[in-house]
Amino acid sequence: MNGSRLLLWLTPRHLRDKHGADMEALFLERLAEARERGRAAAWIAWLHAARDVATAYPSEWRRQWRQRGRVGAPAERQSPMIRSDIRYAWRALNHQRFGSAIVAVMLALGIGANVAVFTLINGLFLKPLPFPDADRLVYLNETAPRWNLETTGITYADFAQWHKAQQSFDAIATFNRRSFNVGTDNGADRMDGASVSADFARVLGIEPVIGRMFTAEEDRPRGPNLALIGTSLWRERFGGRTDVLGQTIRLNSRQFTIIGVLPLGADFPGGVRLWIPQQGDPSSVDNYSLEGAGRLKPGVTVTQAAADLLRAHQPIFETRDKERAVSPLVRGLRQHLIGDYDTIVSTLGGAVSLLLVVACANVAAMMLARALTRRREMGIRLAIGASRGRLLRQLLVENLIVSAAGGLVGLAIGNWAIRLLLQSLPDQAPQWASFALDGRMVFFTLGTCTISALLFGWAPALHAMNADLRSAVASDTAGSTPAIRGGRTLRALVTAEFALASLMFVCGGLLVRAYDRVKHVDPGFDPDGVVTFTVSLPSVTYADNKARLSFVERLETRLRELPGVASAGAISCAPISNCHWGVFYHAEGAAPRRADEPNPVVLNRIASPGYFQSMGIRLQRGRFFTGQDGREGTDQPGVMIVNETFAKTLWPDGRDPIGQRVRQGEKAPWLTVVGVVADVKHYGLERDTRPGVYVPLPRIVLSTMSFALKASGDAAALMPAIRTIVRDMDPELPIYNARTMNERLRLSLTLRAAYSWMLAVFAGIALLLALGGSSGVTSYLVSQRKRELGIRVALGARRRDISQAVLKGSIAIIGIGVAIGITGAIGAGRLLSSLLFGVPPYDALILTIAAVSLGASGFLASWLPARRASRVDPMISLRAD
Amino acid sequence: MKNREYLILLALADADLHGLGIARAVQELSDGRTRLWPVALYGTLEELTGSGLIEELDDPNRRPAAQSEKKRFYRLTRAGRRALASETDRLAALVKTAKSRLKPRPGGAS
Repeated sequence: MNGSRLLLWLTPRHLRDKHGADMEALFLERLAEARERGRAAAWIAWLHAARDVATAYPSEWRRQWRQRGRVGAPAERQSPMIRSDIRYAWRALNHQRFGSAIVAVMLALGIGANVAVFTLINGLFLKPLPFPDADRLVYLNETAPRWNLETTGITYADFAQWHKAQQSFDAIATFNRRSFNVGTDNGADRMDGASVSADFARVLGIEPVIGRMFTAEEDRPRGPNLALIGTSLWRERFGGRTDVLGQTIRLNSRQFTIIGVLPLGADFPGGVRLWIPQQGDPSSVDNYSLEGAGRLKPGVTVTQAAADLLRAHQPIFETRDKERAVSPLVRGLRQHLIGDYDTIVSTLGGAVSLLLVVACANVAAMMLARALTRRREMGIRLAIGASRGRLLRQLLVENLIVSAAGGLVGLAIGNWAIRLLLQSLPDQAPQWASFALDGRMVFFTLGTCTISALLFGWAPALHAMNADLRSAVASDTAGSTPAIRGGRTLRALVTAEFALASLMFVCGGLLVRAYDRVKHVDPGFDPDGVVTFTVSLPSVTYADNKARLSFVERLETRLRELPGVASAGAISCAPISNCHWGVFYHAEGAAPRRADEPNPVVLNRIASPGYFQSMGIRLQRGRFFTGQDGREGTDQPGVMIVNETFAKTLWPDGRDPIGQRVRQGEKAPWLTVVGVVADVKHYGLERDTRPGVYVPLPRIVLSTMSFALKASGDAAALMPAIRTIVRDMDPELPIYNARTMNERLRLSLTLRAAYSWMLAVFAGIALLLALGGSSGVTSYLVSQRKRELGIRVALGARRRDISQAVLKGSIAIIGIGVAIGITGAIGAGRLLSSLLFGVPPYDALILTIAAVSLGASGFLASWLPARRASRVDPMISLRAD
Repeated sequence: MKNREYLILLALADADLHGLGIARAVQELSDGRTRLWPVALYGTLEELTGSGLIEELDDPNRRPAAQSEKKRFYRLTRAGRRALASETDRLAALVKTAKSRLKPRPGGAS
């Protein structure tokens, strides 16, 4: 059944009968137009559809009551009936307090897991971004597949061209995350900010709280030094006073005039506290470092905008970029922000849905067993004139009460779990998303409760409806052995539970194994005892290479003299710290690259001789840098160290890279390779390595440099001493990004660790539920066969025969369930493959563990009731009833 | 009168439309802000028919079809047109009052 049919089927009968075809067409149209606006919109459309269907019922009931009133039945009699239903249901539940509590707890586990994951889905996909008409916002960048780069960053020249020629946006703007040394009374703080182009506020649809945004006139190269500050900074530093306008703030040792305060919502994409004009130069053609955002004109789709931007980009293809290497990239803003979370959240969503089904199957089995033991009651009530509808309604009320209790506890569990999760992942939770409880979540929980009540309620209800007086009353009193009622349904439910539990078990196992595999990837360096931190030298006080070199070398020497420091070195860009500087290198004697040939970008780093030792990077061939390397001057030929991937990429014929020469462009000086070092996992353990090189420090010193220290003891304990040294050398220099390498590695894996273990926990819960279910069902089946087993014992059957007779059935059920589940898991594993880091979905170890542990625990769960059955005393069991 | 009832009556003011047509016209009239979903639309149409503000017509261009397949057109009744006019007057009066209240007061802020 497809989606619109299902929706139609849920609508009230009188509407459906009359308008069915038209309603289906409208459902189809609404869902299709939402799909066009993206995945998030499609999700929301389904919620709208559900709400639409749900709103039909109150008025439908009113209508029916009115009609009934017209035929004569007094309407007042209806409502006390419902009240008596509730009272009766409550009495029935209270009668079996323990059983009802177990059922509610099972549901609470299932619903809680769903609430937790839905909170994530809600925050990431459904809650509107805090901007007006946020669905018209897009993210802009440039892409260069041939350079092996998904995004290159935007160069201002391209942006200026787009700005001039685009037709499908209300406004487009660039932004560039930067961090500043912000002067204080006694030194400086490091603060994240951004430089943005003039239309930034128009794109986001925000207005300064006080003051103004800068104008296009001021957003020109060599424009005035202006700054806007965020609300939080305004409150902290300036006490929220309006006379902040016109005051100055020192950024990187320069004075900036504050002209406005931006609202909290401007903090985009997160952590940004102040803004300065981009003041980009339209003639800057090769500095790809900006990002962009745009606001689409109403009615324009992302695809149309992308086509429009490509058209606007044409003149650049015709002049500067004849190879057509770099082209514009347009993406929905939310889609961009969600990025990697998409697969993870879908996986978790799938897992919790399965968990809920397992929980419901479990509850269904328990309720069914209970309903069957109550069939005499049902039979008698039917006999004395209760209608089937009345009984059905009473069962439904019972189920709803149970599932409402489960839902309430589940909501609490889910909220608690999500808070715990977010607390343990402070760096991984996206800053733009909010995970607070809202109406949508309450709605979702209510929906989940109702769905589960229907899911677990159908089997008992069906059997209750089949009850008739004769068999219900007779079978218990007559001396014959009754056929076991509901046996087939019960077995099917247990089979399904085991199938789903083993499917989840395998998927959870695969993810945990993938996590383990990632954890054991060789990072290419030795993280133990290494701490790194970063310093940015403002160009006012450190104007040229010489001034910067002198500072870096002095600092390096003083760090090395610290007690407990084994070695120290400087690096432009430390591993796993989210930085990248890409350039292109060309090998001497290599054939000129064809226009359509891939040209992988090379990670360029500046390193001092001490860096390799401090970071523990292994030398494969040649030598490390010495103190003399790199002193020849930037325009002279020099030396470099390359990584293995670089050597393989540039000299695929496998010749010795030592002594080979490369350069960046036609006019650049040649650099001779003196050493080859092991690949370092620069972008994280799960990411591919890019070709990379190290240029000796004295040749070029960047204004932002990091330092790596190898400590003989606890690396983190060195930080206070390091701060003292830096403050002593220059009181206006804050140090930031201070972390041990082990910390960096751990942080880079927390997200994967979190979702892998979450799935493992869900699988564990599913397994527990399945075991509880199978044990309960076996007990019930045994209790139904008590008389038969008693007769067997009386006729001389041994205990072993009895246990075997009981076990045979349940083992077959469990075996079938596990087999189905594992087959399904291999298929599901393929869907997960992007998260599995190369672990095959049919990984033998995991499949074996799953089959053995599920089989064994399933056996145990039915063995206990079987053993109890074998101890049956024929005298007692035959006398029972 | 509910917003969606008003919009539906307004959509039928100058043309007889069928359900889907009404949904599209309402979306257009409200600048894309009101998207009517099936139950809301057909439920409201039933209610409006019941209170005599609109009436059903058969598709003038097609042969009669099965009950649920039949394409139904709707037309504003005389009572419907009156209701639409009076509601419009009420809204216009309201807008007028609102505008006069929103005007900056002479003498500046207190």
